[in-house]
Amino acid sequence: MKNKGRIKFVIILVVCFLLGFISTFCISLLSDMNIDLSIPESELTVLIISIVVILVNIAVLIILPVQYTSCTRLYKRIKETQDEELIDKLEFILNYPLSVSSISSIINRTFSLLLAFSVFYYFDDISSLSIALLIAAFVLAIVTIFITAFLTNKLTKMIKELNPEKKGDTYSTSFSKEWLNSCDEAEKLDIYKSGWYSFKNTVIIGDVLLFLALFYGMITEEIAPMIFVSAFIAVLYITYIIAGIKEEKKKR
Amino acid sequence: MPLRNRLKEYRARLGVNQQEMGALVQVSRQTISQIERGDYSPSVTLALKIARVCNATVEDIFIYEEDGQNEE
Repeated sequence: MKNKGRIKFVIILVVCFLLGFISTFCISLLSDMNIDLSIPESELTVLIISIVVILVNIAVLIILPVQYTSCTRLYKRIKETQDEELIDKLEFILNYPLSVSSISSIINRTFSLLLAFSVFYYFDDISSLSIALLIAAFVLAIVTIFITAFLTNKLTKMIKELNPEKKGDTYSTSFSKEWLNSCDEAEKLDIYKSGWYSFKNTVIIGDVLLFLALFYGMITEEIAPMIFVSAFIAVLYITYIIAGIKEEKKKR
Repeated sequence: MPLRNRLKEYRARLGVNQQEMGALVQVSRQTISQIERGDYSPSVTLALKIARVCNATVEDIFIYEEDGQNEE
């Protein structure tokens, strides 16, 4: 296990070294050729963002109802048979529509900001086709947000019917807290394990983002992205350390 | 997993389903199901609660096996 860890560490170092070498080489090559790398304020940005939003939301609007229907079908069978193995199966497959709805809400949030940014900067300069796509993307994003919230609420109600001890209203801001409080030791352990896994991966992603921000900074001479990513990583570590200290204090 | 259990058998003796068993020991149905499948090792407190509800000792319900050791 220790050797595996060392090998992984060496691989990461080698990959980082190669990436650094290639990016520096590319920058020096491009600066010699006098090529302007700044992104032009063009219609392309609006088109790409709108098409991504439309495609993602169409995919969500197809996948989510299909998954929801299969869950409700299984739920009806459970009501008829009271089969405990089927309940286990349903609780497992419920994770899929819930994951799709969380991921879609994150994507919609991010791309809605990008769409708003596009409207603000490019609205006067873009063609009517791009404006039509932009409006379609906005409408589709809003429809998906409402449908996702509605289906998530329905699925949560299903979970609550299967587990009457579960508390929390999905439309409430204190849902996560109420839900966590109604979980028992095994469920909390799963949540904490997921939290730790998420922290571990966010740290890795943070390092990658820092590298990208550094690369971006080298091209555009802007340091703001580096500051934002560094602040994000710092907050992540500080929150983790404070949570650890609080838990230690609780034990005394 | 070195911890095996006879919870399903004891639950059947009590004549309760997983939901009712969970309510008796104040945990969810999922946790009872996970324990029965051997996917989760309960805390000492939960193991004692289960033993008390089943009118048995913890050792009657939960069997710890060292690596390679089988129950007779």
